[in-house]
Amino acid sequence: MSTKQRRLLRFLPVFLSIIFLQNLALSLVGSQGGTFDLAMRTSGEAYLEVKAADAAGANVTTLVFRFNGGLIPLDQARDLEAAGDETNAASAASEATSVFSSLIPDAQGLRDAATSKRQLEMRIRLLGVPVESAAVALAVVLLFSVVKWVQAKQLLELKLKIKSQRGCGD
Amino acid sequence: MRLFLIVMLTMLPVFSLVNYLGSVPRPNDDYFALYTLGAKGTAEHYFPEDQTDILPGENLTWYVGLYNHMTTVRYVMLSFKILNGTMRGPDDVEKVSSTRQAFFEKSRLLMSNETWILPISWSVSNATKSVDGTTINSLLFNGQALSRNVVVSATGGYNFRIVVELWVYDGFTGDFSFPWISNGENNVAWNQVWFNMTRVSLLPS
Repeated sequence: MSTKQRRLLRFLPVFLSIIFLQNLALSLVGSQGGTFDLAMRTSGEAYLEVKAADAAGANVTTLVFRFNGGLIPLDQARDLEAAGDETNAASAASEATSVFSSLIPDAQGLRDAATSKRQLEMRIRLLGVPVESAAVALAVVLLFSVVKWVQAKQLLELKLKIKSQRGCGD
Repeated sequence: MRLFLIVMLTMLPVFSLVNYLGSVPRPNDDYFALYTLGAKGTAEHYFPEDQTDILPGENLTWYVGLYNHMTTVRYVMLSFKILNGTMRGPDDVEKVSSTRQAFFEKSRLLMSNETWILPISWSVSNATKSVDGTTINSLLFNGQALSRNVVVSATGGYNFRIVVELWVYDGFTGDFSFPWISNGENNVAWNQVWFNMTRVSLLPS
């Protein structure tokens, strides 16, 4: 190894330390802004899940109430960040994130339950079509049979009447 | 038996159609309704003694209402901005918001058919008069002292305005959007209330 290479190797730990410290500083600065961004992203994800549950026909009143509860610390985080209070802003944003995160599985559960209920209703409705059709057909056939029976009875009575009139005439 | 089969086969498409129509939701005219009311909850008395030329420290109470008629829950944000007469406001034709940054934002998840009433109580806490006109430097808005995105000047103190914009969360972009899509079209909703501050020099600010 040449002298130049040995000199460079001696400074290597210094270079590596500078790079490490720079990345550490960047990650610390980024994480506080990142906490608010994470809260915003999580609120968006939670909203989409609540919306899907609502579209599936679930009762989302409680979810909406909880979601709006999570917006209180989120708004506080926004105001604190604007005022330059990064630490408290991050804390408020974390609180908001945990509220929204807890909503997501609950919304998914409600959506799945509502979807299953809707599918069952659809199956019952589909089964009902041939049953309803058969019921109407049966009613028509019965009505037709009754009409035929009444007509046959009337015809028989008429025949008997004619026969008895002929017998009297004779 | 033949009659039974004929009637049943005739009724099958009829009942299928009836069940299908019963399961398909009716088309809905989706919209938001945004409005700003005065101190008494009506479309008047926006200013003390109906004087649109306000003074620093004079408190104004308004009610901003938003009605969701969009079939499902919607994540919305009301964005409050202060502009003068020359600044570009929201545009109904271009469907764009004002380029001015908001000084106050409030978001909420609204149920379908829900009305959200946001009471706002505000005053100009600091304003200065110069040769060019009046400059608003800070506001007291719902108990918060605000100076970020508030500083605005108007020649002679005429034609300031508070603009309220409705932003709606867009699942595709993952952010709030000023125009929202309903019935296949871009729609926007915003309100503005004009006011003047020509009497600033009459009282110390």
